Amino acid sequence: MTTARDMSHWRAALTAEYYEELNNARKNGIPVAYITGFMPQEILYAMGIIPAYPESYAPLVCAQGYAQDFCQLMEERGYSPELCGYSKATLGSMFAGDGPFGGLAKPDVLISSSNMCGSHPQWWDITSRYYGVPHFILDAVHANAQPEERHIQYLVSQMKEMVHFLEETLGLTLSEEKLREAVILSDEANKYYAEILEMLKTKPSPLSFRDICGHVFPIVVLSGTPKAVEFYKVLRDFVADRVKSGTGIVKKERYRLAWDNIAIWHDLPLISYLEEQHNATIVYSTYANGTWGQRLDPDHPFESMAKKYFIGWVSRFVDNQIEVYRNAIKEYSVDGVIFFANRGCRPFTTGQYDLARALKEQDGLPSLMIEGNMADPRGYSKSETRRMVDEFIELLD
Amino acid sequence: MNLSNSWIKQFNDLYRDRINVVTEWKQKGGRALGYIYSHVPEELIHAAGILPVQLLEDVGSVIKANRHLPQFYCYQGKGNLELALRGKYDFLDGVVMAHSCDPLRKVFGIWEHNFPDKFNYFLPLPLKGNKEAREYYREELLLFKAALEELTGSEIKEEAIRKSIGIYNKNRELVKKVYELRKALNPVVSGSDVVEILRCGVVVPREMHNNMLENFLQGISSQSPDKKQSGEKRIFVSTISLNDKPLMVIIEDLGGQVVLDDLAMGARYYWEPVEGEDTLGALSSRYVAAVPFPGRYPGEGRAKILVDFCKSYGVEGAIIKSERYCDPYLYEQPYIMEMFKEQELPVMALDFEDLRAEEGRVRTRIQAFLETLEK
Repeated sequence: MTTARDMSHWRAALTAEYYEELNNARKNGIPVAYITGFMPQEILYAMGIIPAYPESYAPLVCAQGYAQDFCQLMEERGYSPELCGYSKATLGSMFAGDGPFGGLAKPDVLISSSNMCGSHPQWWDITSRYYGVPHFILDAVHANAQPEERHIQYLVSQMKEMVHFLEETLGLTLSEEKLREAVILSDEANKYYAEILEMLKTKPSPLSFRDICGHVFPIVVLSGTPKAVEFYKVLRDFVADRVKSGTGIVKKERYRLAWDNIAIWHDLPLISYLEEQHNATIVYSTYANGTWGQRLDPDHPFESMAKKYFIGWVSRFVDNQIEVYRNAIKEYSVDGVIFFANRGCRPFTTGQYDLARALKEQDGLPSLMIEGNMADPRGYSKSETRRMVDEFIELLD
Repeated sequence: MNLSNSWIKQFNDLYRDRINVVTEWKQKGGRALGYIYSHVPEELIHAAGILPVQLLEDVGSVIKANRHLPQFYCYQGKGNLELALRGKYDFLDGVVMAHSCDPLRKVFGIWEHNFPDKFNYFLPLPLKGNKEAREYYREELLLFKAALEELTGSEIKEEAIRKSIGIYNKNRELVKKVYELRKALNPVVSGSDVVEILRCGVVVPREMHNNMLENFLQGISSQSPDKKQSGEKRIFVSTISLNDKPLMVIIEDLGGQVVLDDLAMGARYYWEPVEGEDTLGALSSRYVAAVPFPGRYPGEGRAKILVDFCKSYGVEGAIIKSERYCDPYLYEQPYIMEMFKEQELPVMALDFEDLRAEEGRVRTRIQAFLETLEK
């Protein structure tokens, strides 16, 4: 029988395998493309390019304790401490030539998108200048997560331009058949991923948010490969079994919470603290639920990828976010929300005050606001955060 | 005393009187819409018979906006939201913002949430300037035009768009002439004067500003500039806001001569006219990727434009001011600084959020920089 520990080991093995492949890519003649989270990696896998994700690498930098030194190094180079936390962690790692798995492998090409965040193209520009490799921007205009034909057609034209850029730069071609294959695999992994999150609607919650934070790795990095499909299929079955037997992550679930924003990567034990000290589970998050888990249509690969990549949480205006939240808190039986005011990600954080007020006024939902930086641990107090959490939980009674 | 002072006072007086100007305009049955930064096609708003009014975060302390935006947010976004929440923009019929930067995009969402009864419009500006981007944005402008028509209840005629483009192009041409004056060894118009001139132009009817500029340029032409060098160092200032006049004044007080700027609504907005037979296509081409705005324009291209610009104005020292929470400026700043240094142009980075609170420190830093230029 599969255990939670098995899944974590499997994921750790997938991670190690992936970074080994990435580090050996040059030797094996496989091109490396840096890409931003939430863009059509299916195309890259179909072309035989291995995508590397600074944003997925950043949590590793933080979890392994490198972040503080790298952030300081960035400041010594004249960069502001107020920049995106992930960019500080990974650019710092690049400048230092150090980090988990020996540093993120040198890229052959860079692809960024303005889809989720306006800082990506500028962050990639710095990388491009440092390594002297070409940078392509996949321009996704703002559609408030409700893309219409004109938005979709523009993004499709951008994806085709990206394919052309990759073909020209790397001398590769994109075959329709391979793209279809990658789209089918990505769709399948995302289908299982969505089913897993869906099962968190059951009481008691069958899966810890701490596990989810780790388990997003394959969906971010490996969507479009069989590895992601295998992993999420087994994880889905594992969670389904727990639901069937009524096994929760805490013995007596008392509070069901929503988490707003990216995780605090240098304080993931906060999640365990909530579970162990307060029997409180995080069943919904704008991080895990707000982004991945969208289906694709292999018969219309470009159009369906375009639709998928327009719906990220950060690409929604506040009114749109309120609507999504109000549905989610009912469906997931949420008792309260923890808003992580994240200094390391302004786009994710902006709007939280209006959101919190709307949920309070319209649904009577209480919330807590805690401040920190997802990547940079400086100035964050674990004990202060726990004290605030304690007070908040008391309020829920 | 600067020769142009009496002229500048007229621009300043009109700016101070802007609410009355707008109110008068509205009393005649007109509408007014606020906008932020240099990517909103004012021409189209103007062609609808609506007065576009640039929102300038001329605010002291931010109090109300702190209930909506994180403490670590740009002063531009916060300041404008603060004024709106204090009711200072009640005289406007709504706001139009374009995707100039991510912080502004997020502010728009908060704005429409808090002022649902007003006309709120967001223009999803593409990042690129290729054919597909221009065609896409033309479609967006067509929808924007329809929204404006719905607001006013009358059609925007092609002729009206053409006429408005003419008025705004004329304005660009006149402002460029003002900038040209600054190339002189001892310019008759100072950097802080130029901020006054520009600030007035974006809040009053542009026709009015054109008349004033024409009179100003005519009047000033009779005053021949002092041919001999003043000994003051020629300074370039990169900063966003038209409210940064006090910064220019400090530099001038300390013996620097601000001959060029990089204001969001300064040179970079005025340099390229709207050109082309197809009016909406021309507006699309002008606003998509044509304005060298940080974060929306390749860093290399922007650095080159700034360096070349500085050379053509005989700049001897550059002050690059970044906003503490403005990501687009913060990301490119180290690179821009490097490019200036590579061209052997002395450069200084400056950072402050509220000049009123940080003036002492800012003064000391600028003085030290100007002293290094003397050596």
